[in-house]
Amino acid sequence: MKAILIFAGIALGLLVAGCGDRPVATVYKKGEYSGKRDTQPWIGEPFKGDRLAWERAIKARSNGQNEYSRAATK
Amino acid sequence: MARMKFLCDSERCIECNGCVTACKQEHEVPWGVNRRRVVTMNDGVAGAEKSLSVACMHCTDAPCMSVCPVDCFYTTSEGVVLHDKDPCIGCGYCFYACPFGAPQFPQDGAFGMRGKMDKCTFCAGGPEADNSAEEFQKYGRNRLSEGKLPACAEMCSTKALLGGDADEVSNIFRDRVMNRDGKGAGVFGWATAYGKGDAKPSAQEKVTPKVEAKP
Amino acid sequence: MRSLQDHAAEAHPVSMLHTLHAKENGAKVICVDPRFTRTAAKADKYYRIRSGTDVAFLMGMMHHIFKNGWEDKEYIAARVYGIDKVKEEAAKWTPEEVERVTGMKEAEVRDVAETMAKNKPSTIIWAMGQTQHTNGNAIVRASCIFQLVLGNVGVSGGGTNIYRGHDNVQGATDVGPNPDSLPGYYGLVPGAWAHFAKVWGVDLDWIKKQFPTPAMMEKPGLTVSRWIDAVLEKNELIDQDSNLKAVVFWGHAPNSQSRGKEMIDAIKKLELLVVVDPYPSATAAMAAMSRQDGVYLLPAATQLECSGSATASNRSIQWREKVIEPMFESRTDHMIMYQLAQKFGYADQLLGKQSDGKLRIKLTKGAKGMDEPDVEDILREINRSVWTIGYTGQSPERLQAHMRNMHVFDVKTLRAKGGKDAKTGYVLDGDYFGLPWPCFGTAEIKHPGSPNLYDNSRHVMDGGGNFRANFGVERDGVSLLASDGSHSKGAEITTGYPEFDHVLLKKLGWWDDLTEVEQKAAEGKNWKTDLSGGIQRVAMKHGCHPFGNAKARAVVWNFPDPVPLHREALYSPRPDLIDKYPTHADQKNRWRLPVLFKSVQDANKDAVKSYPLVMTSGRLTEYEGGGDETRSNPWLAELQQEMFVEINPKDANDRGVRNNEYVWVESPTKAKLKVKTLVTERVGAGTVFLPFHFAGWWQGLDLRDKYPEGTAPIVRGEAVNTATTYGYDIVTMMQETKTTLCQVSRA
Repeated sequence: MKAILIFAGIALGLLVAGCGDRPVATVYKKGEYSGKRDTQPWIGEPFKGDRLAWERAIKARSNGQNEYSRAATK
Repeated sequence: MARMKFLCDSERCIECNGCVTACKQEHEVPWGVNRRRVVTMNDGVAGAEKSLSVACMHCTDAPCMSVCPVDCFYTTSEGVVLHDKDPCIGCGYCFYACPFGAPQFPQDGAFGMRGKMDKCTFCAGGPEADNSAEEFQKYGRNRLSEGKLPACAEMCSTKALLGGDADEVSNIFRDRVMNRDGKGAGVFGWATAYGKGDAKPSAQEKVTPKVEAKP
Repeated sequence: MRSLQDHAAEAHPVSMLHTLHAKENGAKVICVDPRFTRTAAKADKYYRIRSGTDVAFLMGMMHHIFKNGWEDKEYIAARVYGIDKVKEEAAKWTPEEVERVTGMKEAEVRDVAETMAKNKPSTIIWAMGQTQHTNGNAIVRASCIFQLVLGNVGVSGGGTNIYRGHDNVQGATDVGPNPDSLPGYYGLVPGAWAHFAKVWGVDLDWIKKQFPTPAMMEKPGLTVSRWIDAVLEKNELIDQDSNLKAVVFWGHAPNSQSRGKEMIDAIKKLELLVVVDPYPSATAAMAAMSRQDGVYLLPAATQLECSGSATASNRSIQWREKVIEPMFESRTDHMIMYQLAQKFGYADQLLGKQSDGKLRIKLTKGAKGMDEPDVEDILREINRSVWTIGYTGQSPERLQAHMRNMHVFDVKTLRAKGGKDAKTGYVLDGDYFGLPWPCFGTAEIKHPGSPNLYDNSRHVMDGGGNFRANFGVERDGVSLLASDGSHSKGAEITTGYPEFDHVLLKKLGWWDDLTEVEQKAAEGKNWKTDLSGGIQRVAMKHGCHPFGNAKARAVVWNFPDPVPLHREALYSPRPDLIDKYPTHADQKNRWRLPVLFKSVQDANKDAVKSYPLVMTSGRLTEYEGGGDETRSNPWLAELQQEMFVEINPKDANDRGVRNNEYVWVESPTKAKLKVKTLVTERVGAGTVFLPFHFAGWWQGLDLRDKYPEGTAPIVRGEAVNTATTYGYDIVTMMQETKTTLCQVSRA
């Protein structure tokens, strides 16, 4: 019985999903960004919202481009 | 953190096209679409030949953004100019407006039909979920969200092309220019800005206007 | 200060950073090249030279140097033999004569000479632009002599920097692909065979039996550049029993070799042709043009699909990790070699099977679970055998520790400051990255590697050195050893000294410094055959170089031209110079084949009338070597979609051709190439340049259907070497690809 109910639920879900067609035409509001919202680069993996860790990573990579600092005789 | 910027040092760029290849490979950019390219001026002319790698410059007041009829452009908090390909109608206005020829259009199709615009993303993907399959398919890899810089700059064989936080990039460039044994001013652009001739820093002193004694 | 005939910006873009970095730090960069390259665009100065006249230019510079007394007299007296003969030759090269031959003005030649002399240390960088000429050996020797004259050799920042053409070419050369030597430049003498038989664990008599006659065993073999002649030449003229019947192209592009037109005839005549390569390559297409059978394609893995050591241009060795498993049916090179040895029935000898059944090189599981020789054991065999150039200290363990700890090495000096490998506890302090050879002695004595060759300002155990005593101790009553007082830092012998052997050790009273085991191994041996490494260890313990301390030879008495001479190319654009600077006489037998020089030059004295343009060739950044792999890569193929010829606007206009039009480039062999024009000032009037990476077109015809299905590269084009002409260096047998003639006409 439970199995049938679950099956019915899935079937219903699938049916409804078929109906959920997103609107194709975009509604424009003059002067305002019309696309989807983007997220900050440090939100997801691997920084999980730690902005400072992300900035440190970017800074380290930036300095990796400086062969003068790499070649400096320490 | 300041804005993300590219800088190409024409004293270093040797037109090896490593940046172009890195970009194409990283994002699996189709044949005919060039998010980045290297241009050479005065090819073969001794003393005048310069090469520069050019892509979207991620302008602060981006002309593409101003002219877009469907307003699909946005600027991220890091100053990267991105766009949402879904509302893009492929009209090519941005192509008209861009001073650098950055916007690209796919060349496939029976009539070379114009598809949705594609351009350099500073390896920051697009508005889809970071590092999702959808984001990769539409915009390529999102290296920025992995804490990495654009592939072109990181792959540059002579470190002519620098990318990253503008403060860091300018620090690197300043170091280099100061090391150039009085040739810092030889960087392409100085002569254009301050006139030809002796393009050494000492020339600055020479061009200081003389204050003439008043009668 | 750097210069000359290398196009690093396109051929070696990553190395170009070193030049640009040096320039930013105040070095003057001068580029001397027939073509205004991307490297020239980055130089402080660019001077155009006529292709193939480098000896004249170098002698012309030495003319100025000797005249003005800019030479390093002390250095020459202490460390160089025979400079007087060079002086005599340089005296002949007056500025007027240099200009007549090279086209370079006196002020230009003098400027380069003065800049080099007054901004020391100064270096010269070159690549194929100097070597691929009929007088290539003379050109490179003239460059080396030039550096000796200025005292620039054995000095940090000086020397000669010859950029290698591909990944690990240096390593391949060191392990002996040359037909005149066993690995490590041991030559083919009986002693060398005995040495290697012992290291390999193979019975010497068994090796002898593999050769039809003992003479064949010690005779230099055929060179790769001339395999086509070994097939096509009359049998009575070649110095071996039969003509060449089978050829294996192992990672080698046919279109990087000259005389493509005749190569087709040779391919047709072969009994067997094998291609071992990641791609079927142009070889397969060329074979399909001329034959239906007897051709085998063996797919090989790329460098990303195997691990092992690779030697760079600076002689440092890096350990490479496998990135992915070999794809499709491909197998690693060493697996293919092992499997071939199995079929031929000498797999046991290949692995050095001992009487107790133990293998000197063990087997490991490779692609698809098949056996392959262990790469670490292969390197260990090199470590056990190659004492000559110091390949003995670079054990796999040391190299792998270097790779894991790159961060402890100083980027400028390449030397480790402190550092201990976490995995093995190996102490890295003092090592030079990649242990550049010579890294003498066994790994245990921890020689740090030699960052610069012949540098006597350092102790030998600190990577120092001096010139090798390889050619005896005297010549015509003149000592070849270094002068008194000239020695590497801390050497206990402060004069010149010969190579070390058991006799010298005993004479010096150092024999007892050897352990008993070492004494047993070293008895009757010298520094390169003592497998215990004891002789090397003791010599270095006393601060001495195992290979002696001698002078560099400016006069190479065993070469056809002891002092480098300018000789006009066989297909010379300047017939008026041929009488004064003729090429060599024809040679009956060099490397088992007759070699033509004068007869070709004489027969083509008038060629310039019909073929007035100098044809030269070179590389592009986008493609590599023969280009089959890179032209099959869409990202690279998109960047260079068509084979082209660079032609000066004047030459283009005179022929009524415009930019980006098809033209025919025809050479004196009557081969015709259909290529697009690139009208540019990069080349001077009278010279055209063609890149050599293209193949897949044959005199106007697309060979797409000649490739096995689905393997044709995305970009195909004419191979420049279809049209290149006859010509080989007399010493190296290197082919002439840089100076020949052609005509360009509208297609």
